[in-house]
Amino acid sequence: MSDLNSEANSLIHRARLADVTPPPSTKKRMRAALVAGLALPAAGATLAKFLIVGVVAAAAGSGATFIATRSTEPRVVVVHTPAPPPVVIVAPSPSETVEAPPPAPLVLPRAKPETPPQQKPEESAVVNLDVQLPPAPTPMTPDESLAAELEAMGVILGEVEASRFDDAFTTLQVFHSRFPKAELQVEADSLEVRVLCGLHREEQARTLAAQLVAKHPTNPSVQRIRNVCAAK
Amino acid sequence: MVSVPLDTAALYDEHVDFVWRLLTRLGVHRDAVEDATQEVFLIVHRRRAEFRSASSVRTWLGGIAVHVAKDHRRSANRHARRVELADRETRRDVKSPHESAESSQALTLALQLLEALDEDQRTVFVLAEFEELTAQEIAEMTNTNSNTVSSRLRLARKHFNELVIAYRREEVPHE
Repeated sequence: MSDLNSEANSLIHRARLADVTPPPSTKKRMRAALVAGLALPAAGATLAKFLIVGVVAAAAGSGATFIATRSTEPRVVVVHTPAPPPVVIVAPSPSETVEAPPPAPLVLPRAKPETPPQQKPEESAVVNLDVQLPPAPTPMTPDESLAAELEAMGVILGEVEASRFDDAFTTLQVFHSRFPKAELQVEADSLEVRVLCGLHREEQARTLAAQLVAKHPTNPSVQRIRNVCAAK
Repeated sequence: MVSVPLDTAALYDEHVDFVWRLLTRLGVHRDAVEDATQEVFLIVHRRRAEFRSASSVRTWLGGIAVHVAKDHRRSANRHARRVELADRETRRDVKSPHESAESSQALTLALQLLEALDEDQRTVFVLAEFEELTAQEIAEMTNTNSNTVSSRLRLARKHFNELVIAYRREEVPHE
């Protein structure tokens, strides 16, 4: 039993009756961020924060590091991490190899948009994943995989927010290749719609969006990209 | 002990109110409760494989919330937080205006007084007096033992009693 005096007891009793629950709209938004984790303009700030939190929270348990390179500076980057296996992002030659630092909280690239105009990447020439991906990656645990996915999504988000859509497209292809059964698959696909819009490939964007809407009509991430190209 | 798969979204749907309420009562500033709640469920998602069926989901979630609240409070304290508790949550009440205002004011006052308790005492006090959890549950959430919980709770109650008396004598500044 409580050893509170009568006044304190009364105060606690009354305080306990106060309704302390999130408003429905907040609850919905938080759930969307949790489930979708998708970076679209309407919820960009919150979701970016969500992703950063996710990456930071996951960083301690995951050695995966996901580094995107600018496709305007063609090169091959091999990232060596203790575990899980390295991520390789491939663009046209020349090549170089970089030793990655120990896993650390990811800082999303939020730099100002680059001044050089965006070039439509040639779809067939951007990546060559089959050749360069590590031959036999060590399987990641579900937690490591999710952490790596979140980290990758953070990188893509940063590129989208910096309007570096060609880079984002490249990174997305690596994401799809690296995580064929991604937990954030729908979110990645939804983000790809936005990237395609950014690359002025509206037809492809609309096709992909239609497929996503048909397949996941109630998914909050998909809801956000229903009219993304139309709004441009 | 058996690992059981957990669906994070389902956990969210079922427990978001509990987590939000707990974070609020543990002193996370209202402007930060949304972020803190998301953080809790993100950690839940990351650690869902660690959950053991021997533990109650609520206790497990509560333990994560306690840690997140502690981090948020520490972070906020670094910026010399001035707690603004007036009109806290009142817009969300569905009770009669009188009842709503009274309970909201009581919560505001209680949280204000709880600011004077140290972190560990406050945590135990909130879990025991607001959430009405047992010493064993609190011990599990706070990663300590029942004796420590009982000791902290006794001190916290004593301190809180004194704070209420002092408040009545208007020795504690309040708004």
